[in-house]
Amino acid sequence: MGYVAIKGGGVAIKGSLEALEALRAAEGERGVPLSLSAIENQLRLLTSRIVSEGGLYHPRLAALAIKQTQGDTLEAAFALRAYRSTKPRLTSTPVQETSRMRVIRRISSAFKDIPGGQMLGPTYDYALRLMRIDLADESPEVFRAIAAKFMADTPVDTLPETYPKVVEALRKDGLLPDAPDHNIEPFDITREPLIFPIPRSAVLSSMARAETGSLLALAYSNMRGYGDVHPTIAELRVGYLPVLLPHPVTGEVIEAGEVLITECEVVAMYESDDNKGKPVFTLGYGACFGHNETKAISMAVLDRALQKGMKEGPTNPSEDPEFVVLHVDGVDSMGFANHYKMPHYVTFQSDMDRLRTTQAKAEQKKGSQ
Amino acid sequence: MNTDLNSKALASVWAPAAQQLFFRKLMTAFSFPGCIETMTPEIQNKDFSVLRMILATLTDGEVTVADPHHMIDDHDWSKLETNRETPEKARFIVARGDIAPMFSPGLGSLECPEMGATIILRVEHLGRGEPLVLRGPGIQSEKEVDCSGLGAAWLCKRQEWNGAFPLGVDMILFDTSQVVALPRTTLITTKEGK
Amino acid sequence: MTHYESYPRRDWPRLLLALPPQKVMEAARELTERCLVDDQALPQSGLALLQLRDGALGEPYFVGEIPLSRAHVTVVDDKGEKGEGAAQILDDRASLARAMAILDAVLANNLNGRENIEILLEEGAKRLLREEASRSVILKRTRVDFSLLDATGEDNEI
Repeated sequence: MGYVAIKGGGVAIKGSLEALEALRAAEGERGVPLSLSAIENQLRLLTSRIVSEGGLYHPRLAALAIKQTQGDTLEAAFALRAYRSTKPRLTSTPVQETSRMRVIRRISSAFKDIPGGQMLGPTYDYALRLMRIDLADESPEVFRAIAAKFMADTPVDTLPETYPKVVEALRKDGLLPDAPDHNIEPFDITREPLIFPIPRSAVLSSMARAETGSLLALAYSNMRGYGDVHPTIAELRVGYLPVLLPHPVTGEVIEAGEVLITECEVVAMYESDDNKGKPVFTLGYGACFGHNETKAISMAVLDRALQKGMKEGPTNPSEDPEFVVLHVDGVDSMGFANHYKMPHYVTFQSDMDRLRTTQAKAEQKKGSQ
Repeated sequence: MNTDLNSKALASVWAPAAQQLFFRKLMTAFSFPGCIETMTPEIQNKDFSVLRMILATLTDGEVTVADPHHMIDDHDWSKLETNRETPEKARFIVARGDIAPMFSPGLGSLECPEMGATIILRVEHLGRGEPLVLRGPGIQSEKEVDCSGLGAAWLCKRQEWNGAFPLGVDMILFDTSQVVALPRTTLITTKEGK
Repeated sequence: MTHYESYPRRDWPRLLLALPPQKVMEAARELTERCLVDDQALPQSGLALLQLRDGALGEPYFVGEIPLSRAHVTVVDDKGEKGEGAAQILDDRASLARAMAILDAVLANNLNGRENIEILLEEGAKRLLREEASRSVILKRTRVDFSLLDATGEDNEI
């Protein structure tokens, strides 16, 4: 019975794929196919989100994923993850220092005067949330002139590309505990299953490709009082990190390319360290591919909460590594939620049979009383 | 002279299509132990060797290879992009069938029996020489395979290594143009009944 | 004519990656017409885990994967001069890595045909300068001048 239904579905499935395409091209004669460059540039932050949730730094492919999934971020990240699973693993890079980031945005809400100064960069933080009706019917000529105009009206002197990390300055002043360079082998979440308790490197990796909304919700629960991380941002930076690899012949370090990254450190309550030394601030950290500030801040808040949870035992869900890490992956969660739509006819048939049997037994029992 | 990626010299063992064809042959060899698989003539050229074909197909950066008898040349090592290891720890061991084994290969563990080594063994001739009588999964009742250049010490050691199934080693015997697979499930006796 | 010493070898991939890839491929193709190119390793296109160190506790972790292509060649020019070259780039095209490895070999070993590559490096450098300038403009135009805020604050003091 169930199997006949499945065999008959082939035609419907083919039709559904064609229906998707038909809707994608519904504009018909007036339609203009989206170019990947338009998606990558004009929907820059959406592309960044998919790059981050896909776990693969390939903005062009992320744009393609957005195009083919008609803007469904969960499906697009899924497509990018599926693509990466077809490629061989060549190596892992040596540790890249984020102080070498070529920043385009660098702010601190905890400290006003940071070495090198604060640059807002491109941000909606202070933008008015009004509908820009002028964009509804944007003239191509006006559009094309915007970038050049921005470049033109500027003084000549150049600012440096790279800036020291704020947290390093805090460490030098003794306000933060030292962070010795650990040489622990980081956990590879793409190869090893998560068996709790997991090391912090596995938590950071999992959060780096986690679904933004999920991370935000859990971080928000902590901020709202189901936790006690009161974060102030020591530094938030967005920029292009050069990827340095050894030359295969000479061994000298060469730049293989650059990767857009968002990185955030939050300063949380101070506490005495274990050895009853002087009290210091503690830090939470978050970093991900692409320009994703809400995600990086959420990651940092959760990192601090989880550090506390892993040390002292969780007092709320946002401090529980198992709760956080197992529920924030978009592919895992959307996959499970959506699998319910797959035919469960045989399973459900057996549920119905069981219910009828139980009902019959209950009737019998009543009858014999 | 123009040497591009599509030229014949490179299309031999290093081409993915060739490796896929050969992988199917190895699958068949392992499924039917004792069946001799012959290398596809199309990909044979002066650079061709069965050993190179086996290694190109089975090894990569995720596994380790031991070469105690120095059968792999340097040029191949850089193309294989695999990791050198001692015979005791390697997933794949390349060895000569005419030299008695002087190492103890990894046999895997109860949790991960697949981590037992695969020994890629060069023999003189498959199809000629001393008959080996094979029984076990993939063999109807009994199969005989003739083989020359395989020292008795290998069969002895194999019996020892494979004594605690599922732990053990798997073997691929090769000569200049053919391969035979001997998974650890195959029981081997010589005609004298040893 | 600027000599290739103007740009250290570590910058060549970056400069060449700033160009349209067809230019790099074309330059390599031209060279292979008069040189012998031998692959020392198979050109690869795959992924690499990107390792960072966290700013809070200094622990290394993998933030995600990047596309990586690499190639390693020896080139013999039409004068019989030989040289090794290689490239590892943040790109998914093994053919592009191979092309850059050929250019790397010719340039690093002073082989015949290097002048055209030097021209490409110059062009790449110009493009990079434009990109750096546009990032610099963003920084300059959005730099916060706290001194102005302080001045206003004093005016508002009661």
